[in-house]
Formats: sequence, C-alpha cells, structure tokens
Amino acid sequence: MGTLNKKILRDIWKNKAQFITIFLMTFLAIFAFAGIHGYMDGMTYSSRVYYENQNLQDLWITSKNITDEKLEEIKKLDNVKNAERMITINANVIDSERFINPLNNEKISDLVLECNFIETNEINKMYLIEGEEFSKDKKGLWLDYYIAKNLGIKVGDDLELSIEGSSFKEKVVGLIEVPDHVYFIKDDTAIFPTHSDYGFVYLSIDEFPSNYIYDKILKSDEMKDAIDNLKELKNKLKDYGITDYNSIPSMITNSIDGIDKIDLTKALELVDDYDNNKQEFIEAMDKDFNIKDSYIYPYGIVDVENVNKIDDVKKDIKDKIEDIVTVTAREDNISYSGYQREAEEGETYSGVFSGLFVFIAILSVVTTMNRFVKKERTQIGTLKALGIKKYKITWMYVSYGLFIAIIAGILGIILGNIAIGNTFLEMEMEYYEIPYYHITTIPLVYYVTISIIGVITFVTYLSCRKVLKEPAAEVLRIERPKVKVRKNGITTKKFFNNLSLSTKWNLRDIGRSKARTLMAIVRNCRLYNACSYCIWNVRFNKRIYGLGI
Amino acid sequence: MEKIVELKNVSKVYKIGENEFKALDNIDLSLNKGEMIVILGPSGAGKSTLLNLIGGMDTPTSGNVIIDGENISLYNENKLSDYRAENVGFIFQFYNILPSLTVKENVDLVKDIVKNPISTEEALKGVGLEKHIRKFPNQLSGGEQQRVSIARAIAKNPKLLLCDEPTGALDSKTGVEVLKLLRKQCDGNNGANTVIIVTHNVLIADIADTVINVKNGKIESVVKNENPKNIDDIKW
Ligand SMILES: Nc1ncnc2c1ncn2[C@@H]1O[C@H](COP(=O)(O)OP(=O)(O)OP(=O)(O)O)[C@@H](O)[C@H]1O
Ligand SMILES: [Mg+2]
Repeated sequence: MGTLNKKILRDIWKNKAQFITIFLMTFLAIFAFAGIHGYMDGMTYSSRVYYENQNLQDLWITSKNITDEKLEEIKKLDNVKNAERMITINANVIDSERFINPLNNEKISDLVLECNFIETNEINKMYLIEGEEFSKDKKGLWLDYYIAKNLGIKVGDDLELSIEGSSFKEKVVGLIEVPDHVYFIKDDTAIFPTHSDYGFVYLSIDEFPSNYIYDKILKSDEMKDAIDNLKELKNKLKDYGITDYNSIPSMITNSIDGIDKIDLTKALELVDDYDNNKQEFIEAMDKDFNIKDSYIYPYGIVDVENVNKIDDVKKDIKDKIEDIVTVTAREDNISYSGYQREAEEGETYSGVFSGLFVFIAILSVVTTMNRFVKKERTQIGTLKALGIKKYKITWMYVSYGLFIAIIAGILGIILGNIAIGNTFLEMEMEYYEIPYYHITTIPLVYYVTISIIGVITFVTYLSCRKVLKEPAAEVLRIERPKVKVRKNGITTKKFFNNLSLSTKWNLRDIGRSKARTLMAIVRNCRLYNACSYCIWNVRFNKRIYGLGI
Repeated sequence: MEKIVELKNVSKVYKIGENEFKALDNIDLSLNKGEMIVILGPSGAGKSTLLNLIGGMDTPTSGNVIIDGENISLYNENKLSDYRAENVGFIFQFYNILPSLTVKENVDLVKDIVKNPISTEEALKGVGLEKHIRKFPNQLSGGEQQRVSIARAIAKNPKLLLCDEPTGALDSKTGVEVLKLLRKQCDGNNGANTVIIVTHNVLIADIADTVINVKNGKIESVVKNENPKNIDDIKW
C-alpha cells in the first residue's frame, strides 16, 4: 500500500498540530511514568544489590548485654548464619567549630558522631570508598563518607572525640558507607539527613576509650565504698604509725575480704590521687582486672540463613537468650524502611500524571480522529468505491494512532529515564548513602507503555469506526455530511449523557474548536509544570527543613 | 446480445426515523454488454441509487442484482469490495480524486487494488494528461481533474464504467471531451466494456445505445437508440 501510505503521511503533515498534541500527551504520559519509575525502581534495585553485596543484617538485637556466651548461643540457634555485637554510642567532636557547614556556610557548633565499636565485620560490611580495610587490630576510625565529603575531612586527619567527658583521639583511616546507615538521621525531628552535623564512625572495639570504663567503675557504688574503706584503713595505719605499706601486719590484711585479689600496697599508695592513675588504681584494686570484661554490648546484628523463617529466629532469640530487649527485622529499621518509603513515594505521582496525560491523549485522539475522518469522509468513500477493503482503510487510519503512540512510547521511556529518572535519582542519592546506583526499567513500565499504546490505538479505531462501517454509497452521499456532523461527535455518545453538566460543557467545548483544545492542553501542560514544581519544592523544603534553616 | 446487468424485483427502501422511503420500487431491468447506457430522470428519481446497486456500493432491500451472471446481492461487504475492485470503475460528478496525491499517484492507487491494471502512463496518455503527472489536483482545472478520475477508472480496465453526472460540473466543451473518452472506453476492448452514465442532461441521451428513464423509483421506459449521434454533434 505504498501510495496510500504517501497519502497518510501527507495528510498527517497537513494536520500536524493535532497529531503533535496526541503525540505530546501520549509522550508525557509515558515520560512521566517511565521517568518516575526509573528512579523509584532504580532506588529499590540499587539498594537491593548493595544490601546483598554488603550482607545487610536480617535482624537487629538490643539487649542488656550480649556477653561472649550469649553471642555464641545466638550463633548456634537454628537458621542463624552469623551474629555480631557492638557498642554504639554518640560522641561529640571536640573543636567542631573548625568545620564549616557547606549548606549555610556557618561554623558547626555541635558535631555528633555515632561511634560503632565492633569486633568483626562479616555482617553489615563497610563499603570502603577510600583508605584501609577494617581490621580489629587497626587503630583509627572509619568515617561516614558523606559527612567527610561535606566537611572536607580526609584520610589521615585526626579527630578528637568525647564520650560523656572521656575524650580520645583517632586518626581517620578510611571513608566508608555502611548498608544499615543508608538513611541516617539524628532523631525523629530530622526528616532528611543533612550529613553536616551528624555522622557515624566505625572503630575496633579495642579502641573503646578505657577512661570511659574507668570512670564508670570508679563512680560505681561498690568502688566508692571500697575507696572509703581504703581511705579509712590508710588513716588507721597512719594512727598506728605504719607508713611502709609493704609490711602491714597480716592480722590486718587477713581481716580484709578477698585480699588475695588486691595489691594493697599499691592501692594504699594511689588512693589519694586515683583520679590521675585510674588504670593502675583499678588494677591494684583487682589483680584480675581485664577491661574487656567491663564492656557492655547492648547491640547485636544477625544474619539469617533462610529469611522465610525469620520469625522463628526472632522468637528463638527472644525465648532462648536471656536479657534480650528487642529483636527487629528490616521492615522496622529506620534506615531500611525510611529508604524504602522514599523509593515508593513516586508511585502515586507516576499514576496521577500518567493517568492525567493518558486521559488528555484519549480526548485529543477522539476529537482529532473524529474531525479528521469527517474531513476525509469523501476520500474514504472514494477509496471504498475503488474497491479497497475496509480493513485496509481502517488500518490506514488506526496506524496513525499506533505509530504516533509507538514513537511517543519509545521516546517517553528513553527521555523519561534520562530527564526524570537520572535527575531524581541523583537528587535522592545526595541524601541516601548508597555507593553505586543506576536507574532501572522494570517490566511493568513496558507493560504500561504497551497498554497506553494499545489504548490510544483502540480509541483511534473507535473514533473512525463509525464512518468506515457505513456502506460506501452512504459515505459518498454529498448532502449527508452536514446532517451527520453531530452524530459522530463524542457529545452524542451514550456515556456523555451520564456526565455532569460542567463536564459535558467542557467536552462539547473541546469538540467545538481546535484552538480551544490546544489552549486547554497548554493549560494542562502548565498544570503539570506546576505539579512538578511542587515536587521539587517539597524536596527542597525537606532539605531546608532538615537543615533547620 | 449478452447481458451484463440484470435487476430482478429490486427495491431499495430508506428508513428516515419512523418513515420509510422507497427510492427504488420493484425494478426489473437488463442491460447489454458493450453498450453505452444513459439513465435519465429528474432529481430524486432514484438514478444514483440504481447506479450504486449496480456498482456494489450498496445492497438492495429486496430483489436480486445479477452482474455478468453473479448475484451480487448475496455478497457480503468483503466480496462486494472485491467485486468493485475488479469489475467496476466509478466516475463522480465532483471527481473525487485524492487531494494529497499527485495525478500519477492517484492513478497508481489502482495498482494496489487490481490484478491486471493498465499502466498508469497509458491510462493518463489515454486522457491526454501525460504532461501533468506531477501536479496535485488543486493545480488542475475541473475538466482535467475529471480526466484524472477517468484515467483512474479505466486503468482498472473494468467491465462496468459507472458515471454519476460525469459532466455535471463541466462546461460543454470539456463535457464533450469527457464524453468522448467514455465512448472510447465503451468502443474499445472488443466491446467487452459497458458504460453507464447517470445524468439529467437529456442531450447526452442522444449519444447512447440505450436510454433508461427513471421516475419516482420506477423504470418509466427503456429506449434503444438505433443511430446514436456523434458526440461532436451535441451541444449544450
Ligand atoms: N441514505 C438515504 N437516506 C434516506 N433517503 C435517501 C438516501 N439516499 C437516497 N435517498 C432518497 O432516495 C431518493 C432517490 O435518491 P437518488 O440519490 O437516487 O436520486 P437521484 O435520482 O440520483 O437524484 P439527483 O439527480 O438529484 O442526484 C431521493 O428522494 C433521496 O432523498
Ligand atoms: Mg444522483
């Protein structure tokens, strides 16, 4: 049908304004849908890969203290692949004012780093951006890459941290991202991570500040009593005139409980100035003292063999292990679910926008094709008289809709992914810490695109079916068209009568003039722009809000 | 004489709302192969309706339309389409050539429809338009446009050439040229082609072999013209 194709192309060209409208609306529908899905599914897919590669934990445990024994017990539970424990505690960075917040150019008055002291790193593995791999024997800290980037902290820099007054200095040995810190906010009042005054670090448990433990021990009631007793003893010895603590009469020493554990001589020497000799003093008070025994591990993470049985594992941990406070799965984790929610947020927009444009596209198809077929009525009659089969003529008109929709579909997917998908994904990833990511097109996007193409094509078919169905003689009758005009318009279709007056009015309006249809579409485009501006605005506000500006 | 068209008891009833209108009322008619036939009658008599039934453009409400021995009133839409494609060439009062195709392309259309068409060049030469093949319809005069439609019809080399007021929109000089082309089509091909012309121009009747008068949906008379006039001798 070479000649007919030529005719079609020339006719489309003559009516290009209307066909561009159909094209544009179909394109925008698919553009919006594919674009929003591109970044949404990109977020979901990228996180899935990241979680898998870095072995994100399946369960989070809080406990009074996960001791060595309990950790072993957890590891031995059915369906548990591995478990780790840690001490997590916030530290203030001393001298934080030397850092400038890049977002508002102000000095950072209070920089808080969540410190995670760990023993091993098999679960929830750090993703190293720069520096050395983690090892328990290594000194130094592994710092949140995002905050490092924002504050200009480099590998090799020193940071002085303070945990409840116990300060310690560490060198930055690596910049990292960690899968359970993808969405990382200070507390519930922060909506969006700022990566400027709150970050996280990972350190070996061996780096845990011993002063912090010593202070805790020295401030404990038992120790306070012991110190009081010791001071009393010292005074008494003084009264007796005993100043050489190496030769205290055994009569006295024997009366002291657990004397074999105490280096009494040293303890008596240090007791007046124990604050400056904390470690020696505590070691004198308890010859078996090992700082490791004083660690309290409130947090644990668990890697499960078969996630389908995760509830059993949860129950086992709660039932069989003592002193467990909570066991939570990924869905209840702020980082995991906060990110997931953001990824799913676009679903509503994608539906609304695509639906809106598909609707406008359908309206433009109906009006354009009706008008077009009416205009070509005599030509259709002529083609019929020539003996061209109905399906060929039908196909000729339907193929307009089909090809326009196909081109719109292909361009919509490609440009949607580039323009919306990439832009939004980049924007999201400024806040969420995922080291590698890309947009993803899931089969659904193709199915929806094909459906939209199908709908547009089908509506095209419906719009010209009426004229094509009539007998050839009827179509060619010269006096008929004027009488028929109304009959083919959507305003006489059955469903039309069920619509509200204002809808009818609008539809009739659209049916009436090309210029108006175009105007209305332009108006709708503006509506779209306004909506997309809103999205940006909301995001932007989130940022501003998160910053507390 | 071999019959090309036979109508038996043919009626065509149009429904307009509640009312019925008999455009053709129990018509019997038979037409000879190879003749030039003119259908005359006042406006609204049913001439076009008759022609459309013969051309398979519409189906009768009752009765049989037999073309070359085939009862086309039993045909479905698809078969009618084939019938029109292979057997019928239409020429209309307002030419009905496709405005977005050139002269050549308008005639080329036939190639996609008919198994053994006459070449486009030959058909256009036959109507004297070989110089205008690249023009679009709106660059042609009315007479030239009607010649394009004749070229398109005769390119199919149809058994039946059906013309509804072919000269209705033309002045007498161009009208005569068009009639000559139609006569040529009728006389050529060893008398295998039949030409039927619907008109209310009585003068054209003089050049026909058979003249049929239609009135109020009935055949009033069928007159054989023993000595058809030479086309050059008629004037209006
Ligand atoms: N589709 C239709 N619906 C209703 N009435 C019709 C239809 N087609 C034709 N008619 C009526 O049938 C009658 C015959 O019509 P037809 O077109 O055959 O007349 P005609 O002889 O060709 O007239 P004219 O010389 O004006 O073309 C007319 O009264 C016309 O109004
Ligand atoms: Mg007529």
